[in-house]
Amino acid sequence: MHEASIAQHILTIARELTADIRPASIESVHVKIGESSGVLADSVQFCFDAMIAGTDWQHVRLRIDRPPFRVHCRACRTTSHNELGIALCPQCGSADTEILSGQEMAITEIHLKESAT
Amino acid sequence: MSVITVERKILEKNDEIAAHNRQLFDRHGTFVLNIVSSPGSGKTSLIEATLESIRDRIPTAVIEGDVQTDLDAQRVAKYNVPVVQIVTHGACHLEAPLVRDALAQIDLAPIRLLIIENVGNLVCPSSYDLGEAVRVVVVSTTEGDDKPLKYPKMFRTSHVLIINKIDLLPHVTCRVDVLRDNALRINPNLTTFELSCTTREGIGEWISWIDSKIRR
Repeated sequence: MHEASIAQHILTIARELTADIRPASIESVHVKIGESSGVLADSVQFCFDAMIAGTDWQHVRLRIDRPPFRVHCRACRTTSHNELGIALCPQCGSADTEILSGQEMAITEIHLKESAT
Repeated sequence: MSVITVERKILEKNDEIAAHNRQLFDRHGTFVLNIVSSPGSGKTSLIEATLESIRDRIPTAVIEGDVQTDLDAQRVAKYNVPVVQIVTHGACHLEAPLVRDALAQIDLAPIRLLIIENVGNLVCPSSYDLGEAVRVVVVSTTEGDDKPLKYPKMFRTSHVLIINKIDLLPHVTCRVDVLRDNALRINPNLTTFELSCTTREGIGEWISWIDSKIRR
């Protein structure tokens, strides 16, 4: 259960990025948490909401994008969605693959209301 | 509505401190292992078996991570090596700042090998770089051969796989070749060892590998 730690890091960075913006004008924080990142999106959401409850950020929404685990095979030059996080190419079985997405853990956008500026 | 576009890693603070730890290790020429596994796979037993073989010729220190108690540090202290116990009081993994703080209690200058034993957990420690050179995941034959498929990130982010408790193979349903293949399906680059910390079978290959990594 490291999702509380993840949620805390998101909140810390988001507050730092918006230090000179009124909290009331912050609408949402957007993050990418890959489906094979080992992090449970629902738990991060729960922890984030618990952390902002009763603060000047309590109206801020956390939007979590879950990029699928995708692998590109250099042998047969196909790109596949490997749901189980397996690195081998599901088409030809090659181990000569590159993971394209699904491991992300990043803050990507912060949306502000019209009145922010 | 306006949008602030950023690209900030959620764990950037941890990664920054891990990078500092790594620089410190490089400066001292200390090779660092981060040992991860479920509870009871044999991380501490592996450290004991390793210390027994190398402590006379490779100056080694150990950092122990546990949710509670210093029982592991007590076990390791019997080998007369510097050992620091980190008690996380509930946290399910070590983070880079905890290791940085523990390092304040170790004189790294003479240390060629630092072994960090992470908290027993096959999920959470996989997200946190500690500054180690090599992450070693231990799986024991009593856990079953499906574990790499169930906990892929730990196997993807590790460099070495140790299959422990091979002495128990006659008594369990685990198939070592299936376990190894499952791990290699997640991470084809894993270096693998099969051993028993109880009978010491297979320990020699592991020790030779460590020897090859130590800066003299």
